[in-house]
Amino acid sequence: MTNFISVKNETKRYGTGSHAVTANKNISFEIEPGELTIILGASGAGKSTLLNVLGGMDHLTSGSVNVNGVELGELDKRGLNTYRRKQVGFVFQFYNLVQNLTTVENVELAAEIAPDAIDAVQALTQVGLKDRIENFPAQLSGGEQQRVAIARAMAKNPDLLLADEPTGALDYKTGKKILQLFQDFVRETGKNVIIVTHNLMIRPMADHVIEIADGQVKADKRNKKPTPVAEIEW
Amino acid sequence: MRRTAQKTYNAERLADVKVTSTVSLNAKDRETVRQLSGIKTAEFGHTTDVVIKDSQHAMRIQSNPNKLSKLTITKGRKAHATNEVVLNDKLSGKYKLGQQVTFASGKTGSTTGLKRQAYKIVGFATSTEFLKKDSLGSTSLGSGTLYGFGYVTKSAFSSSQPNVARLAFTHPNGQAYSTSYEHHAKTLTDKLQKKLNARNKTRVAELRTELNDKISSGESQIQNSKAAIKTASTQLTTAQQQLTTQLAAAKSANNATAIAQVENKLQMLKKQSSALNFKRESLDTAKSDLAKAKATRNQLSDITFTVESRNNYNDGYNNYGEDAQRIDVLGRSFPAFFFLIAIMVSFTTMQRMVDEKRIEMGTMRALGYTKGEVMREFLVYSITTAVTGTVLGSALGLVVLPRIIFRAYTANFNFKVLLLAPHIGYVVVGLILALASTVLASWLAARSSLKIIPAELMLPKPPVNGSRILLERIKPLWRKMSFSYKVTARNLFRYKGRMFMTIIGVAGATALMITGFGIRDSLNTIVARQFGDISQYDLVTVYNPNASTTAVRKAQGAVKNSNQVKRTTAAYFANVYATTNGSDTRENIALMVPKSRNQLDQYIKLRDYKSSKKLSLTDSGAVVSQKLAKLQGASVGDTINLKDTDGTAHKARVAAITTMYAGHYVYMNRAYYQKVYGKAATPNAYLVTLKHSTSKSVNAFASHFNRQEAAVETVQSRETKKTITNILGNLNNLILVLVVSASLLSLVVLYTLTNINVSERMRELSTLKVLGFYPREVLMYIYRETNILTGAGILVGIGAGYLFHAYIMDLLPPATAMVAPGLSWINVVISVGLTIIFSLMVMYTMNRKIQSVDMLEALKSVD
Ligand SMILES: Nc1ncnc2c1ncn2[C@@H]1O[C@H](COP(=O)(O)OP(=O)(O)OP(=O)(O)O)[C@@H](O)[C@H]1O
Ligand SMILES: [Mg+2]
Repeated sequence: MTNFISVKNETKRYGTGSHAVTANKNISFEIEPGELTIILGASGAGKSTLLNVLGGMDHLTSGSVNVNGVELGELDKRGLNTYRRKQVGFVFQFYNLVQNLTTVENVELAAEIAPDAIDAVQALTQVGLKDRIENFPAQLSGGEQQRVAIARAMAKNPDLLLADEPTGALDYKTGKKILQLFQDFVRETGKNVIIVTHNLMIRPMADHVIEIADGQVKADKRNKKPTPVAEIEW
Repeated sequence: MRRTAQKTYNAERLADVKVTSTVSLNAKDRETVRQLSGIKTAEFGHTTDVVIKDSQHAMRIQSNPNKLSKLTITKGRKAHATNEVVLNDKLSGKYKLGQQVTFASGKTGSTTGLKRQAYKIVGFATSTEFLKKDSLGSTSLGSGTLYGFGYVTKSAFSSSQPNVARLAFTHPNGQAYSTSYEHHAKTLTDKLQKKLNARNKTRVAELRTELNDKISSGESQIQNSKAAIKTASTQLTTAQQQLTTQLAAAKSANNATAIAQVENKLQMLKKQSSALNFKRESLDTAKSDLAKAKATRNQLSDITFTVESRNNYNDGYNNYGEDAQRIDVLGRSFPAFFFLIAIMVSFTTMQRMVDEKRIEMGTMRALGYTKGEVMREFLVYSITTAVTGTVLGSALGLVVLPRIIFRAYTANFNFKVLLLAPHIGYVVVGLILALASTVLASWLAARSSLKIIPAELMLPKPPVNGSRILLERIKPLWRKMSFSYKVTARNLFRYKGRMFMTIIGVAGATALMITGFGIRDSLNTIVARQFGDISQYDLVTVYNPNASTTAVRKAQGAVKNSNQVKRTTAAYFANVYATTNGSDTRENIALMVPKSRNQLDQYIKLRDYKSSKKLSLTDSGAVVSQKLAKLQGASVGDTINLKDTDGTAHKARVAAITTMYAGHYVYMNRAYYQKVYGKAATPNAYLVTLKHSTSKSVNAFASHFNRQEAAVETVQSRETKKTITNILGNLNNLILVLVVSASLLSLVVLYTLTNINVSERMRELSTLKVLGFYPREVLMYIYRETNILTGAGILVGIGAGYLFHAYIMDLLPPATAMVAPGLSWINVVISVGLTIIFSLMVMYTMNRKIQSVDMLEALKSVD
């Protein structure tokens, strides 16, 4: 079985000369299709940087990153743009919803531009917000807003769903619900999800855990039997 | 501007009114003038129009004024000796000090009115009586316009009696151009004219008795000498016959003594007959003298004694005043828009500044500063901005701009330096508005922010929450709208204030550009329509039908027999005027009564102003030009008062109103004229169309005509054209300044608003980028609404421009000119095009800003 993602000696350096910061150093790993991957690491380890490179939001400095056959290092700005548009869904710690649009419109915003988009209302139904589609973000709780953000990412029907600290701003219970959504998504669609977190406790839910420290891969382990989110306590 | 003029008038003591007369003023006339009430000073002088020898350049030569309408010597000195002259400053390029200039009479068979012909130039001068550089005034000589003027000593004139008087009011009731002054001048002038009319009557009566005596004594003398000559000549003939018989008898008798005697007698007889011949000659002169006296008596009715206020005797004074008024019109309306825009921009900017300082405010509050202390920081800042802005603005507005405008405007006038008026009032208003928009805005914004608890204040301001919009409630429509338009609709109505500001800004720019270009267009159409479509003649030549028969015949011949003339028709032509209640200005009217009613259409197209149907002259009333009817508030069927130069009024019914773009005209047929004036309209003029209507050939023809003894004046169509073209030239710079500043302001509005919009929505834009929107899509996400607003602004602008243009054109053009309503589509296209170009420029810079946003950076922070 071929790898869905293969990263080889990926290096990301910010700035030049004496001010240069190397956020990722020679990172290499492989991700198989249908995996729920968790990238773990302390603050400043370089997790977000790695995720941004994987999501085509940033150029890598050297090495190679291949996602679903696309060589990201070879893409120009517009190429990355198209890659983001067609293949990637993003979920952030801060939900980044457009305040002026209703829930359903926020999801449509993404669905509009994706080629194989799923219906916005359907996506919202999946995250359990069917009744709130006409509400504006300000009328929703943080968890609900994050669910809208997830629905927005899922509506694009992407090959790869990336989440950077998706539960960072949420309480324990709400966070669990969110993580459940990701796990369900992977199981139901067979697509890939990568979650970046510094919460070591959620490790058991993943198929694959990559630990990053100081910009380098510290550990790369696969979980033969992932635990359902509901059974994890932290 | 007015200040400058007022100061110069005061310095030269420009006469308030001028009394002119067609004949010289005798002691009694002068006494009458001196005794006029309301007059403080009266100064008498001489004036005569001559031409420079061997040219057709008409010059007005006047005696040196001492008290009123004094000269400003620019070079050299005043004329002291009888052989010295001071010329107008403009001629200093053509003549040098010390050079000789020789004058000649402009008409055959008349004199210059000066003792000498040649004068030495001793100086150059300007006078406020001749304000306009290029058109000094009209004359009956040369091409019809003065080429220059000169001042000589009183003793240089051949007549000892003056023919002009300059007067100064006891109470001028204010400065030149002020309503109170102009009103006083008008009412007093009207009163004076009545007095002078009375004096003129007695004067004419006196002259008539004088002439009658002269004529009757001359006639009886001629009678007597005729009889004497007759008897003498019969006696001579008899004597001659007798002597011839005697001589024959003496010869046949061969009587030598007798022959000698008879021959001697014959010799004497010859002497007597030559004496008789001499008597016959003097009889002839007496006869021609008598004829002259009779002709003079015929022309007695032409003798006038007129008094005119500055506005009427001084074209420059009038035009300068009108120009200043024009600037007032523009100056009143444009700044209103500028202020509006400026207030809006500073208001939004200040609010935005307070918003941006929010976290700082929160920190300060958390550190224990009181609300007042935090507020003070903003107030100090905004007051500083407002004051600095007002100071800079005042410098620009009171010093720099007036200079530009003044230079543009007075290019045609003889004013040297601009006197700047410190309009404290405007500065104060400006400062108040500036303070209101900046200080009030920051105070309001800061106050509302300070109400929030400091902890919350330290977080960024939450974006304005989404809300339902009206459009959404119209379900069928909303459902049909494409997604991007739904988003646009929401954004549009999110910030209503900004929405209106954008529309106003864009609309203002478009409207001002349309108006600016429209003013130009409209004035251009005046020229094009008046001289292209309506007026088909080049000039009117007026002669005196009461002059001696030969002189009249010669003057007529100069027109009828000229090979320059394409066609011509005879008419009665008179200068009359009308006044309107409540206005102090006279509308000068050309009254025309064509001799042949079906030929007029070849010279002037009289068309109904509404239906454009051809009009013909009827027995039931006059055809009146459109602008005159408008100024008089007269419509078809009303009557208007036509006044002669001496103020006598005649009532005429308006039978039709004709389209006319420049000048006031009243046309009547002969029967109707007879009815109104109670006398026949004896032709005294020709409407002339020349083969070549270049200014050179028109001038040459006019000069040729004006040389005729009976010539009175020529009225060139080109002169009106020149006036309008001049105004146009003056306005162009002004309009440019206005249009450029309007466009710049709108650019600023558009930029500020879009900039704020983009800055506030950075997060949104970053989200779009992360989602994979292409740069173009991101731009359009923001710009679709801006474009719609710009479009709406343009539409509103076209409407507003149309109205504003109509409003300006109602006030701006000279009183004699009528402006074609409406705008050319080219103008609209250019204005709209420019507005679009401007907004594209803003869009271009905004696009760069939008595209350079670091999406990751923006998304890192909290919501
Ligand atoms: N745009 C940038 N320019 C310069 N340095 C950067 C930039 N982005 C990240 N870095 C640096 O790269 C390193 C890794 O940052 P990164 O955001 O990837 O860490 P992280 O593991 O996501 O941390 P956290 O858990 O706190 O989010 C840090 O030292 C950071 O300062
Ligand atoms: Mg991070």
